[in-house]
Amino acid sequence: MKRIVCQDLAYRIAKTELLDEINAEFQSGQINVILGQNGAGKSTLLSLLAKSLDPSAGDIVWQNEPLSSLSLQALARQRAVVEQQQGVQFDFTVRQLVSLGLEIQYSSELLEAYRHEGRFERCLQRIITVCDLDNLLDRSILSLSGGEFKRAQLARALAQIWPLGDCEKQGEEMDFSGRWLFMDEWNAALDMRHQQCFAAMLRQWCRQGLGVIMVVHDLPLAMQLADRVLLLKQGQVVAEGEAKEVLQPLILQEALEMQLQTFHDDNGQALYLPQF
Amino acid sequence: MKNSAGAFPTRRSVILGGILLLAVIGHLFVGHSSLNWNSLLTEGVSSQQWFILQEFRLPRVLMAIIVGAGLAVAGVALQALFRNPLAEPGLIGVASSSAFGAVAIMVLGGWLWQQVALWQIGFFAFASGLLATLLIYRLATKSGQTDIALMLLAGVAVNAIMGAATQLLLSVADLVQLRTVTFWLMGSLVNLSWPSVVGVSTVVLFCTAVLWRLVRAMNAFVLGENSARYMGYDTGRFKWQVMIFSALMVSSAVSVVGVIGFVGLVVPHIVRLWVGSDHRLVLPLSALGGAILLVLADWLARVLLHPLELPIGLLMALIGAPFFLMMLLKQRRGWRQ
Repeated sequence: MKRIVCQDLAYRIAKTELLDEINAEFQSGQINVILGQNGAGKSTLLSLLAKSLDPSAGDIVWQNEPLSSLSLQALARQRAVVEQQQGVQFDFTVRQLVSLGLEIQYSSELLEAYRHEGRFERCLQRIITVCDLDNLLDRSILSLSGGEFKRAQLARALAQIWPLGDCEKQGEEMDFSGRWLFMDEWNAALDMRHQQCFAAMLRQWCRQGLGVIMVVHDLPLAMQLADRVLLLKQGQVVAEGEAKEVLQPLILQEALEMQLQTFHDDNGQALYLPQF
Repeated sequence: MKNSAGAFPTRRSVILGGILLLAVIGHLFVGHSSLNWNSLLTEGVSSQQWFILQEFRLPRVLMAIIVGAGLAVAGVALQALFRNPLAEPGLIGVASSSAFGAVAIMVLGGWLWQQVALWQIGFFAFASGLLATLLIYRLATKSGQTDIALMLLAGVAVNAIMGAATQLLLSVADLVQLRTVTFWLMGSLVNLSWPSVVGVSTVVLFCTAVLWRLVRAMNAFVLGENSARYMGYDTGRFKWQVMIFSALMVSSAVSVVGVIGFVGLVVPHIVRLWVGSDHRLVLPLSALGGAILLVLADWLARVLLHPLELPIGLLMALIGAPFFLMMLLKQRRGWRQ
C-alpha cells in the first residue's frame, strides 16, 4: 500500500502557527478526509501536501520519497488537485479545459502520436461522459453555471491522472494505483445527484488504487465516504486514523465545538448531524 | 475534430500571412506620388527609386511588421501573466516606463557623451520597463490572483509618474533634443536605419521564440497560479521569463519607434474571438495580426492627411482607446468568479 506521511509537519507565517506538529498518514486506495473548523489549517495542509507551500518544519514522505525531492512535473503526473474556487477570464471551451489536464501527462511527441491514433480523443470523451459534460463540450467555460464549471474542473483534474494507457479497458480494469486526487470542498457547488455520482465513482476508482484526500465541511458526506479521517483543530491534530474510530460523537464535538444529534440511516449506521 | 488538437495553426497562419503580404505591398506602393502602383507597372523602377525603396520604404514596413508582432506577443504574454485580457504594455505603464528610460538616457546621456548609442537607449528602456512590470505585478497580484482594478489603477499611476518625469526631462532638454524626442515619443516609423531594423528584429524574434516555448504554461497559468503549479509548471520561473522577455520586446520597440499603444490589447482580443483562448493558437496568430495591424495603421497614418504625416502612436490611440472601453464594458458584464 502506498502512503503519504506527514512527520512533525509545521507551517507558520511570521509568528502565527497555522499548522503545528502534524503527524498523519494518508493511504492510497482509500478516501482520506480532513475535517475541521474554518481556520483549522485544512487547506494549508492540502497546499503543503500538494507542494504549493513549503513546510516551515518537518517532512512529507511521498510514497517512500521525500516530497521535496520530487519535481513539480513528476508530481503533476501522479496527483491532481481540485481547488476550491478560481476566477478565470479566458474563454476556453470545456473540451479545451479538459484537454489541458490530459496533455500534461505526456511529452508533446507522445501526445501527437496518441492524438493521431485517436486514443486521446476517446479518453477525453470518456472523462467528459463520466463528468456528465457531454452537452457542454463546446461551451465556453465563462458561460457555465457554478456547478457546471465545478464539474468541468473536476474533469480537468481527473484527466491529469487518468490512466491514458488503460483507456481501452473497461471501467473496472483501469489501474489508478500510485495516483492521487486532492479535493478541496469539491461538493459545495454541485447538486445532490452529481455529488452522489461522483462519490460512487470515487469509491470505485479507490478500489482500483486511487488515493483521495479531501477537505470537506459536509459531515454526512464525510461520514458516508471516509475510510480514514484526520481531524484538525487550530492547526493541531485532534484525532487521526480509521473513520470508524475517529468519527465518534464526543471526538467530533470537541474538534468542531458544537452539539451533534445522532440519526440512523436505513442500514442502521449512525450519522451525526448538527442541530439548527 | 475541432482544435482540441491545438497544433500549430498552419492554415490560419497562411491566411494571415497572405493578408500581411497584401498590406505590405499596399504600404510600399499605394499612396505615394512617385514609384506607386501605376508607375511600377508602366515605367519600371529607376535606380533612384530603387534607392528610395531600399533606404526608406522597406525599413519602415519591416519595422512596422516586427514592432507590431512584438507588441502583440508582449500583450498576449502579459495578459497570461496577469490572467486578464485587459493587461497591455501601454495601459499598465511598461511602455511609458521604457520611454522614460529612453528619454532619460537621450537627454542626460547627450550631455555626458555627446552621442548616445542605440543599445544604450535600449538598455535603459529595458531596465525601466522591467521595473515597471515588476512593480505593477507586485501591486496588483496577491497569492496568484490579479485584482483588475488595482492593475489598471497602478497602471494609471505609473503612466502619470513616468509621463511627468519624461516631461520634466524634456523641460531641461535643448531645442534639438526636444524636437526629436517629442516626435519620437508620439510613436513614429519615419527615418529608420537598417541597423535599428536588424537590432529590433533580433530581439523580437528571440523573445517570441522564448515565449512560444511557454504557451502550454500560459494555458495552465491563466487558470490560476496554483493550478499551474499543480499541473507541473514552475510558476516562479514562468513569471520571471514572461516579465523579462515581454519587457525586452516592448522596450526594444519603444526605444526605436516610441510609444505605440493598444496593439497588444486589440490584436489578441480579436484573435481570441476568432480561435478561442488556447495560447498555442493565440500567440502565433497575434504575432501575424499585430504585424498586419501596424502595417495598415502606418499606411493609413501616411495617406490619411497626405502630404501631412500622422504619428502612428496617435492613430493607434485613436483606434485603440474606444476599443478598450468596449472591452471594459464587456468584461463588466461578467466573468468567471
